[in-house]
Amino acid sequence: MKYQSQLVAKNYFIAAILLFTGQILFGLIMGLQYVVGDFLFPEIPFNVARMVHTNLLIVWLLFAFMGAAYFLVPEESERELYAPWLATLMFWIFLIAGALTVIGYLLFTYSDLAALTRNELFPTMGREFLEQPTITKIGIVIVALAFIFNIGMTVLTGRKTVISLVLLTGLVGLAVFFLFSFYNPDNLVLDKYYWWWVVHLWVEGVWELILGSILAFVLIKVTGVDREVIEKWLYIIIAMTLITGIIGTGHHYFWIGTPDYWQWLGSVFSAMEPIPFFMMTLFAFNMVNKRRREHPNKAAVLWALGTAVMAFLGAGVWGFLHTLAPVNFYTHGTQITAAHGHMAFYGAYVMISLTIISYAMPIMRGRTANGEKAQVLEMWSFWLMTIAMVFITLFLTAAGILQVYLQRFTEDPVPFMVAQQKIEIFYWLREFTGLVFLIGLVLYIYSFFVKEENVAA
Amino acid sequence: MDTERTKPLPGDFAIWIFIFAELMVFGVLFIAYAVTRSLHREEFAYYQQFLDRETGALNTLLLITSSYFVVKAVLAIKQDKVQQCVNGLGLALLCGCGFLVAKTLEFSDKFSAGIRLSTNTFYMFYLSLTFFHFMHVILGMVILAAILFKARAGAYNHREHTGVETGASYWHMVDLVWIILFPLVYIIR
Amino acid sequence: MDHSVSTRLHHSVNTWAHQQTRAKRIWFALMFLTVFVYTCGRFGFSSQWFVILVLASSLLKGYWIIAEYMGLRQVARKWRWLVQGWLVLVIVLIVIIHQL
Ligand code: HEM
Ligand SMILES: [Fe+2]
Repeated sequence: MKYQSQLVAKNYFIAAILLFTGQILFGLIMGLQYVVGDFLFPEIPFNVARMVHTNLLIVWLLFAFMGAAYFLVPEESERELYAPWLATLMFWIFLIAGALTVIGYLLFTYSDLAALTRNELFPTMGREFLEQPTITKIGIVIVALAFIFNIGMTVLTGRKTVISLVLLTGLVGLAVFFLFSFYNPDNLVLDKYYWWWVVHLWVEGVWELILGSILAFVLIKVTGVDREVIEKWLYIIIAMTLITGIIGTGHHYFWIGTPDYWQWLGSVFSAMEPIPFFMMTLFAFNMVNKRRREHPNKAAVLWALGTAVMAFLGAGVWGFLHTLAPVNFYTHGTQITAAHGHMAFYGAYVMISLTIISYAMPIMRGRTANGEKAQVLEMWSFWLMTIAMVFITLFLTAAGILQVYLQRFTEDPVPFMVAQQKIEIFYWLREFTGLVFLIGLVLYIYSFFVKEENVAA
Repeated sequence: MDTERTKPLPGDFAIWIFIFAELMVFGVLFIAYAVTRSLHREEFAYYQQFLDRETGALNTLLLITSSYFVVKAVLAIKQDKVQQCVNGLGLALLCGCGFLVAKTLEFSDKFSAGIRLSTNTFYMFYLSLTFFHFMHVILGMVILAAILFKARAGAYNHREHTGVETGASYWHMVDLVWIILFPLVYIIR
Repeated sequence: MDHSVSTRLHHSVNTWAHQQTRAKRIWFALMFLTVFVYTCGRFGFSSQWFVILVLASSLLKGYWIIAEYMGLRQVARKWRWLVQGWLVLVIVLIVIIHQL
């Protein structure tokens, strides 16, 4: 590790993995509730479990992104972090606020939580992914501002690289678009319209900048390829992301009451969104093939390549599957959407987080790479989780196709719940595959505790 | 001499990936336009009359000429003629500015006539296609300007001029796309 | 001056001058085609033939830009075909769809 202050990232990564575990546990609870409807009722109703599952995902990814920024920005900027103490302080504030919010979800009925946090003063609650009480949202903004200030000062007063500037742009964008979560108009069309500015412009816009810059950083480190080459690829991937992704928001404006032309704009532009993801795949494999050194951290290289492939599959291929308006007319809000959401989030953002953690954690623990045994375990966990996610996606896709057919496409469509009953078998399969995913995750965590002699320092 | 077909793609390989991606995007947009036009023949033919073909033709001439200046700039730097290269890029940028001005006037004319994306399908296509291309002209000009400044600082010579070729390739792509876009949207009924 | 170097230099300058002229001729041709087609349009050619004429001129212009200005004439065939294939494909599809 080149700079002492990079060490602040460690807490962020640990918290990320713990919350990740929580997310998966709640996912398994819900997966069971799909088929055993009254499981854990009334303690944890489905809607609460879902809220916890998705909110934990977002929060742990934010922890991982912040950790990644705190780790890579000092190294890129060639200076210590502007204010390491601020990073640590924000860590605790964010962790406690996050924990309190989740406890709030679990202990109170949602409407009671809204009353308790005085939602009526400034109503922002009640929308998917943005369920947090207003006070938590304000907390998130404060943490984000302090974080961006800290990272920004480090970047601007140090060596400026393409990687750190792209990362900074992505982080600023993340914060800016989150502000739309405070805008909660009564008009449902407008509400949905701006809601997507948070959700879509995050995952198919600014987060891709974060993803690209973390990937580029790790690739420089593990392949030794010239920075210039890597930066050029990064530029072009980013440009393509923005060209397609911004107007691509239109693929959510097909049926919400927005003007017709969105069916064209949304279809055409979002159909191009797979391109930057495909470029990322080309980029990662090209760089690894041109590598100038064999980095001892094989696991990190595997995660990086895995990210490039799975992000393309999940976001690119499964996104394209239902992004054209005539197709989306039938698939909108079905299990096809769920299949895509799972593989895209895992393939792009979960995996890039695990990539940087895999690369940075050994270094922060005083070695270039983990020993043989720990790495083998980590690679096992890579394959278990990744293959499990592929199967979860395939099962949900099968369920989705059947659902679309039975409920929307045939001459005599059946009601929602009848269709659900007929695809139950896929939900069971998904739940078992989820257990395999959990085993992968446990192995992953266990790989941090393997004791080994002779580890390269 | 002209038969040698062994050179690598001019400029950085990465820009070519980008160019191929962009060509795909425009290709899909053009085909989408053509299909929709064939479904709404009367509507399209009617509103096409109101497009400004004079400025359109002028813009074609401007883009072609600027492409020519860019070619001259590339040829110049291969002979270490830095000043000529800078001049070529400068003139190309000037033509680009001309394009932007003409197009802005055209847009403001349409807007003041109350035409919006939601006016009808034809105007939706017309506005989004031309505006999307407009943004590409701006992006191309940003790239050319960056190269101009680097060239003036002496960053290129007969051995090392990948940057100039990279920007040139992108700019020609912007020109190429307009060569199809203009007749497609403005002329063919 | 070493004889071989001097001929090589001469040769390269010659090529360069040649390339200059070539670029200028292409420019003239592109300008001429544009003005020509525009004038035809002015005189009210609006038949199917005019559509073919317009698209043929686009095809030719695109061909020149790709081969000469982008410089793909000297590049491995697969790249040139990729870009020119794009051009031909798009224009042919436009014609077919137009005739439907
Ligand atoms: C890593 C990037 C991506 C992530 C994390 C992601 C995630 C998601 C999620 C979670 C949803 C469900 C939202 C909801 O309704 O609650 C969704 C919907 C959707 N995504 Fe993505 N996505 C990504 C990229 C893409 C791409 C590149 C495309 C297109 C090519 C795409 C196309 C769609 C479409 C069309 C929907 C709406 C589905 C419906 O109508 O129900 N996504 N995405
Ligand atoms: Fe989206």
